[in-house]
Amino acid sequence: MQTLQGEQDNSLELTGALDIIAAEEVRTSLLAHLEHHGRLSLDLSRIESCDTAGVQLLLAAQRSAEAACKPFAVVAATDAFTTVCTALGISSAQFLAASIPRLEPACNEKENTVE
Amino acid sequence: MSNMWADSFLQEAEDLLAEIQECALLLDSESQPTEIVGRLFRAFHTIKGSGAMFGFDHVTKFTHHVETLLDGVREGRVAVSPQLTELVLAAADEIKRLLAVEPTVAPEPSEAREKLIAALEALSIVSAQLPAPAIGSIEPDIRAAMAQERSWQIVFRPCKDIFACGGNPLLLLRDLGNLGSIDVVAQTENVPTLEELEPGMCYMGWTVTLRTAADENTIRDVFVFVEDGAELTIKPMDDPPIQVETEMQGTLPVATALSSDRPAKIEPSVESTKSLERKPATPDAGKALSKESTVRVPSARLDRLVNLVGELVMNQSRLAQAALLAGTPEMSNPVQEMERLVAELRDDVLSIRMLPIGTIFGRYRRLVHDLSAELGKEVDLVTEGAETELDKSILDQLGEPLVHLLRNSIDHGIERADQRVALGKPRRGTIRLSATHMGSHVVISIEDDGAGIPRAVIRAKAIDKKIIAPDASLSDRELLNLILLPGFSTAKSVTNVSGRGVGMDVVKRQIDTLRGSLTLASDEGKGTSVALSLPLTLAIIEGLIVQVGADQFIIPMSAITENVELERTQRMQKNGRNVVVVRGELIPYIDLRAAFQVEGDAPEIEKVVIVHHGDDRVGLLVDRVLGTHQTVLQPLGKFLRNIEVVSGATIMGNGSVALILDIAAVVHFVDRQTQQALLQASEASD
Repeated sequence: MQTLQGEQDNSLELTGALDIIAAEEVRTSLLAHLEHHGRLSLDLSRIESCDTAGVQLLLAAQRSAEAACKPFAVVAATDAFTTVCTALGISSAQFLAASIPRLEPACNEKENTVE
Repeated sequence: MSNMWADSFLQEAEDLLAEIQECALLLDSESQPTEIVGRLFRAFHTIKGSGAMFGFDHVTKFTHHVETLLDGVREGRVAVSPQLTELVLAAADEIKRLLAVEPTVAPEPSEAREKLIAALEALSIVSAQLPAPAIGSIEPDIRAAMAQERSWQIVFRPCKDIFACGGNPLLLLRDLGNLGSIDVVAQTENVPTLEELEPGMCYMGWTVTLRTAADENTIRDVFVFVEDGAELTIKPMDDPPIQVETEMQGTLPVATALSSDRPAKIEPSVESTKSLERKPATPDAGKALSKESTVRVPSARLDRLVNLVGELVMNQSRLAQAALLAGTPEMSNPVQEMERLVAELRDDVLSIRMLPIGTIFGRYRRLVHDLSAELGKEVDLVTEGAETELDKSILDQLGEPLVHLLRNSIDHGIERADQRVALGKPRRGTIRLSATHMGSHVVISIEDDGAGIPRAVIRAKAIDKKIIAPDASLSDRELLNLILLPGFSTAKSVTNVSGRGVGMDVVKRQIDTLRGSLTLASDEGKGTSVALSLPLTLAIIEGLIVQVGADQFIIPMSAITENVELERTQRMQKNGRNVVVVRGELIPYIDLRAAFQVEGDAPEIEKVVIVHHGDDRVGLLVDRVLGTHQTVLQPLGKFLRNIEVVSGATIMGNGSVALILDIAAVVHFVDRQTQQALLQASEASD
């Protein structure tokens, strides 16, 4: 698993296997990215394989982003990822939002000041 | 691989093999064997899966063949038949053999195993090629299931460490999908933030709607390896919906939400989570939890616990006596309270070791099945009172006596089918194995409807072996009891099954060791019954404390019939033996002072405690009877273990030790002393 910083849009690109073996490493990268950026945009277009722990990690990342009142979005994903999501019963709406997600009113003000 | 895990698997496999054996023998008798077949399949499936996990690859490989056959039965392609029962039993035996081989070592090639695999495969194939009769044999509920699909709602929340246990929810959901059309909704409300997340734990759950022709057992099989510690509810959709204690995820059906032409930019959309009303956990969820609350504990630990409680009881008794002597109310109240608590603790600890006798009934079903086949007889075993509880230490020692009694019933008792028909009896013989509580005892009886015990044969054999004189006059009971003597057998020929004459005396001795009794009854031509009366536990003994000189002894209360006084002037002897007259009946007694060479003079008035000894009564002459005493039996240390006349010891309230008398051993000991004395006397007179 590799985590790459997107050059233009500050998105975080995850590559290779998003699985239980890589989970701790990805968690650290996600936390670091979330700390230093006003939003968490994930590019999963180079994910080759994925498992339940990997998907769960992204759900946790989404929770963390929500808690920090920062937008969360998966901007692209491979078949490998979406197939696993489908099999696990994770709705598309759960992750795959390209633009700014809906935020709670309490967060709006903060959101406007972030970027 | 840790030995602990392998041991745990072996223990589990042993339980599963016992269940397989029990189920296999029920197959023939069940009119609706669907559930039995399901249990069999799950048991083999678990052995296969766990075997693979712990490196028992040869077990896994072999079990696969059985699983295939049973799958055929579940699908209605293979009919339930006696042949199937035999194959399943043989397969269970083979797995037992394979489990005895170290997982890293390849088992020796075995021709018998290869033949068995061939037979398993042949039955699968042959039945598959005969669709018409096989379909005809399908149970009505399977037929109905095949004809009609049903919708099921499955709620699954795995235990948190499912990943660490090798479970993969993704594969489980795929397996479910293979059963029919499926709609999966994840429950993700328990997933924490990244900061709190432990990546190796699973926080998710799933609600699945499955439309399938498969039955509940088949669906449950999918979860067979991950059920422990999980919440799993499977309900048909026409039943009231399952109340899910959770917040559900968004309702967009997944299959339509994601297109397959990814990677691509995806439509912006956010679905908020909906909070549903929280409901109390379902009863089924409670069931899942209750499964977790069972703990497997080595029996040696329980034995140690019982011993410790025994020590505690004795020390508490000493404390009570000290409090009594001190006479201070400040002390006596807490001591009384402690007495109550210790008694409660003792009862609870002893109840942990109590096991239903049904746990050993299963293996006898197999024994009867195998032996009757070997001897060409048709025998049914009927068991009753399987829920009757007995101390584990007794159950462990009861195995062999019961095996021998059942063997005797099949070999000597039950006649061949043609003989039975000629005698006007039902073709199949019946052996009834039952257990029931009778006061502080459990009575286990083995009854058969066979030929009974021929008195003439016993008498002839006893005369032949010079056990009785040709003109001896014996009551019917005495005659029957001759078969309990060492080396006595009435079998005309020695078979593998019984008839070596080393059985009934061993059975009798074993039951005596367990402080129990054996009663024989037999009606010639109609059958025989053997009743074994056993104490509920060996750990506690209710006894009568008696004193001889300065020593105290305990006589088991269960053996005592009455006490009588004996004045010195009333002492009398008959044929060189001490006897006492009780309501006109002459009862021999043993002078414990003389037998144990206790110093000092006997009091003017002594007591004779009269006890049962087999079918007779015998007295024990003591100085005084001090009262009753309930105690936890302590085994004697290694230096005292060989004292044959005592079965154990206990510590009295004042700290002194009292020995517990073994009545049968005391009688034998004194008999031997008397014989020697008579021999010496006759040699001296010569």
